[in-house]
Order: sequence, then C-alpha cells, then structure tokens
Amino acid sequence: MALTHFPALVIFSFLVSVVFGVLAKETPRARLVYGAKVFGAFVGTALALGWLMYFFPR
Amino acid sequence: MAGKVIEEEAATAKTKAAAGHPPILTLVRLCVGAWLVPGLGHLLLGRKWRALILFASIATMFALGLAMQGQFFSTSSASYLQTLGYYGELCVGLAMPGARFFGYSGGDPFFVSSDFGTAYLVAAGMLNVLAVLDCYDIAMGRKG
Repeated sequence: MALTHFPALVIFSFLVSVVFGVLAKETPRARLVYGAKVFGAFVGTALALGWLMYFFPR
Repeated sequence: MAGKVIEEEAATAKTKAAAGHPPILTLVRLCVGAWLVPGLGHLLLGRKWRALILFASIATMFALGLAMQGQFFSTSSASYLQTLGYYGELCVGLAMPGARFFGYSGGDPFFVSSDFGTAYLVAAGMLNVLAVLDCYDIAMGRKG
C-alpha cells in the first residue's frame, strides 16, 4: 500500500491521538477533547514546519 | 514497651500497604500479557472498552506498517539506531514474530512508503509500552 505524506501523517496522528486520549484521561468527554487537541497539534505542527521549510528550499 | 508498640504499628502499616498491591506474580502476568497482545492487560483488569480501543489502534497501526512494507530491524546491525528500532518493534509483542511466521519477509526498503511503514511499526511498539505502563498503574491502584 503506497501512501503519500499527508494521508500517512493524518492516519498516524489519528491513531496516536486515540491511544493518548484513552490512556491520559478518565472520562469520555475529557478523552475526546484531549485526543482532538493532540491530533490538531500533530497535524498543525507538521503543516507549520512544512510551510516553514518552503522558505528554505535548499 | 514503647518500642514494641512502634514495631507492631510499623508491621501493621506494612501489611496494609502490601494488601493494597496485587501479588508480584499477578503484576508480572498482567504486564507480560499486556506486552504480548495489546490491550490484553486492560481486558484482564476488566477495562473492556479501553482494551478494545487500544487493541484496535495498535493492531491497525502495525498492520498499516506491514502494508506499507515497513522494515523489521535486527540486532545484528552495527547501527545502534537500528538495534533500538528492533527493540521498539519487539515491544508490540506477538505481532512481530507472528508476521514473520505468516511470511512477512521484513519489508522492502526500496518501496515508496517503506519509511512511513517503518515509523508505523516502531510507533505501534512504543504505544504498546504506554499501554503496559498504564495497565501496571491501574493494577497498583494509581489510576482508575
């Protein structure tokens, strides 16, 4: 199975966020909120760093 | 007299503290089970939903790593990072020897998604380590 960078990033972030959410918090709502935050942080950081590297092509 | 009372109190406190923790053999069994099959430790502790979610997430991550031709590292490499990678992948438990048993050759480094696949395989192992530690904490009464 060949995945490009972005789907690989999103799937990875989703699965890791689910595990972090389940392990770190106790209530379903807290898990959902924490998981969403971790997922956003993963994807957001990767996109931000990607755009940062755009300005330094070599 | 006072010394004897203090000794008795200390012994009682020790017994109470020991009673709060499960026997060491139970802990070892739980942690080994949690390591071998992701989520098994939580299942043994009665956390069915948590076990199911952990198993599904970690197994999916490992399966995707295999589908992307992620590499299995070995300890025979001269590189410390590859040796660490081997232990990281081993942390996922029976899945790695199981994949080998069912004919997975250890990945194709020239496949386009191979690097992503390797990252998925190692991350699955690391997530399983967190699951084992969580299981230990629950068994020790530190978590609900």
